[in-house]
Amino acid sequence: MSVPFEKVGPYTYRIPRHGKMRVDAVFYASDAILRQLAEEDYASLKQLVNVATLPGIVEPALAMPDIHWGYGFPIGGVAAMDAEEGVVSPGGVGFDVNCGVRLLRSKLTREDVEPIKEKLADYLYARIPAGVGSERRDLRLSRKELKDVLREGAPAIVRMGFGYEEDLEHIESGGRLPGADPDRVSPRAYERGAPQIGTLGSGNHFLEVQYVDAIYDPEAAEAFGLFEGQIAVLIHTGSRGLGHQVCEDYVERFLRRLSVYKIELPDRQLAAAPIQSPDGDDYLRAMAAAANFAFANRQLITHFTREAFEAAGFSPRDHGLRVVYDLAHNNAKFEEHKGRGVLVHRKGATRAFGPGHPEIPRAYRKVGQPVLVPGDMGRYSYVLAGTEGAMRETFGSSCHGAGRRLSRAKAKKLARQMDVVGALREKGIVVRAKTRATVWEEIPEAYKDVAEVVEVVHGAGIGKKVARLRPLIVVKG
Amino acid sequence: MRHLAELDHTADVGFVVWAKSLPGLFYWAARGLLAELFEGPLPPGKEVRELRLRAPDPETLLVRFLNELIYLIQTQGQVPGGFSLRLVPRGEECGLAAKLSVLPFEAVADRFLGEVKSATFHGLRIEKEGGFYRASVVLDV
Repeated sequence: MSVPFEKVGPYTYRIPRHGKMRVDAVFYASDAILRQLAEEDYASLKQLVNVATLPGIVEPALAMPDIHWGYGFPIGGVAAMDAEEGVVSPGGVGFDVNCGVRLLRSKLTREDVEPIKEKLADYLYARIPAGVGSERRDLRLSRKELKDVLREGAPAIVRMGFGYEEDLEHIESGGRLPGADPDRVSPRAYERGAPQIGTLGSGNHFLEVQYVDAIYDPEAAEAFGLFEGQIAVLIHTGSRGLGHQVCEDYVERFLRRLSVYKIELPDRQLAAAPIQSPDGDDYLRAMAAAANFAFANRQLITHFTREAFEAAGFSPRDHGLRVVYDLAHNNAKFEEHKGRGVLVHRKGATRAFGPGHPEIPRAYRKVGQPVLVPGDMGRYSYVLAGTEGAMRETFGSSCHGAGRRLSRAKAKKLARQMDVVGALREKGIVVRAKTRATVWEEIPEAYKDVAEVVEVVHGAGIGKKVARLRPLIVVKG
Repeated sequence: MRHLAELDHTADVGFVVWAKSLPGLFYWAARGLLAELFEGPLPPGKEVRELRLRAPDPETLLVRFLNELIYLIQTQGQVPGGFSLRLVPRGEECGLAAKLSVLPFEAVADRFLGEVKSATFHGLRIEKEGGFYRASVVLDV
C-alpha cells in the first residue's frame, strides 16, 4: 500500500500526516469502494495527500465516497483553507466552474408522461442544445447583458423573463455568488462562453426526466415537495467554455507567480495563490463571475424545459415545474465553520448544510438542505438532506455523484459490444444524444453504483437519504 | 515506432506520448488530442492558418498549444486536419510556430467523439529517456 491509512469509523478512514502534508486527510468508503481505490493504485488518495500539502489548509483534507482520480485535486475532494493565511487553487475548483445539478419537481405523475415520452424527449432535445460548442441561435445576449449575468447570476436571467422570482429562493446562494467582477474575465472566456449560455455541453452533462420511485424520509420529502410516482427533471451542466477559460487563464497565471509567493507544489495543476493577494482576489472575482454564468445557464435551461413540457401538451398550471434546489459541486466559497472563516474548495463535492443553517431556504430549514446525487442513466439518482454530522466532520459537504469506475476508453470498448440505447429502451428509458460516443462513455457500467456511495454517506452521517429517482428520458450532448 | 498510448485515467482522458525530438513530441501530442476528439484520421483542410505561441517552459508551451487547438476546434469551428510545426526558442522563453491546414468542423462533425474542456498540467513533465522525449498528457473532458 503506497498511501498509509487507518480505519477510524465504520466508513471513515484517516491518512495520518506524513511527508509534506500539513494536516491529516480523511476519506469515506465502504469495503467495495476501498477495493476500487486499490484497483487504481490509490491514485486518488495520492492526490488527496497532495492537497493536504497546500499552505493554510485546515484539518482535515477530505474526500467523499465518490472519490476518483482527477487532475490536481481528486474528484470528490474538499479542502477548507484559512481565509487569512490560506491559498485558493483554481484546480481545486476545476475547469467547469460551478458545475452543478438542478432538480425540478412537477405536478405530473409517471402515468401522465409515459404515453408522450418520445414526443417530450424530442421537444427537450430540440429546445436544449447539446454537444460540442453547442450554441443557442435563438438567444444572443449583448455584451452588457452578459456582464450583468456574470455580475448577478440567475437573478439577471429571471429579470429578462426566463423563469420566476421564486426559482431564485431555491438556488444555492440565491443563484449569485457575491464579489463577481466581469472585468477579471478574459476576452477569450467571453468569446467561448457567450454563445453557449442555455446549452448543456457534452461529456457527463445531461438532462433527465425522472420519476420518484422511493421515499425514505417522508418529512424531508414533504418539505422538498416530493412524492412517489412524481415526475421530476434533473439538469447537470456548468459554466461551459467561459468557466473552462477562467480556470485555464488563472492556472497559468498562478504558476508564473509561485516563486513570488514561495509556494511549493507536488503537482502543477494545484497552482495556487494566497487568498489575501491581488492574484487570489482576481481569481476569486473571476471564478464568482463564471459561477454566476453557470447558475444563469441552469436557469435558462429550466425555462426551455418548461417550454418543452408545454409543447408536449402540458400547460404551466398542469406541469407546475418548480425548482427543488440548484446545487453546485465545483466551486470555492467563503464559509464559517466552528467559528473560523474558511474558503471551502469543493471539487466534485457538494455543500450539505444541516438543519437550521441560515443559508438554507426557509422551507427546508427544519430538515437540512437538499443534496442532489445523480447516478447513471440506467439506474437511479438520489435526493439526500444535509446533516449536522456534515457540519461537524466535512465542513458541511457531501458526495456529488456515483463516481466513475471505468475510464472512458474502457467504457467505449465495452459499449461497442452492446446495444446501449436498445438496452435502456428495454428498461423504459428513452435516449436522445448528439453523438454515439457520448452515450458509450456514459454507459451505466462505467459508473459505481450510486446506491453504494449513498449508503456510505448515510451510514457516516454526512447526508441523509430522502428519495430515489429513476430516469425515463435522457438528453445528452 | 509507437508514439502514443492511451492512459487509463478514470475520470478524464489522457495519453503518453513519445518522440525522437521535442518538436516531434508536440506534433504527436497534437495527434493524441485529435484522436480523443475525432474518430479516424482527418483529411487536411484547404485553408491555412498560422499559429505562434510562447511560454516560459516546454510544459506550459505544450498545454498552451493543445488548448489553442481545442479553442480553434470547439469555438472557432476550425479543425486542423494537417499541420507542421517548429520550436523557436527566444531568449529564455520557448516558442512554437505552426502551420495548420484547417477544415470546417461541419465537414467532420459526424466523426466527433465529444468535447474536451482543457489540457491540464497534472503530472505533466517532459523528460528525455533512452534517446526519446516522453510526456503524459491528461485532458479534462
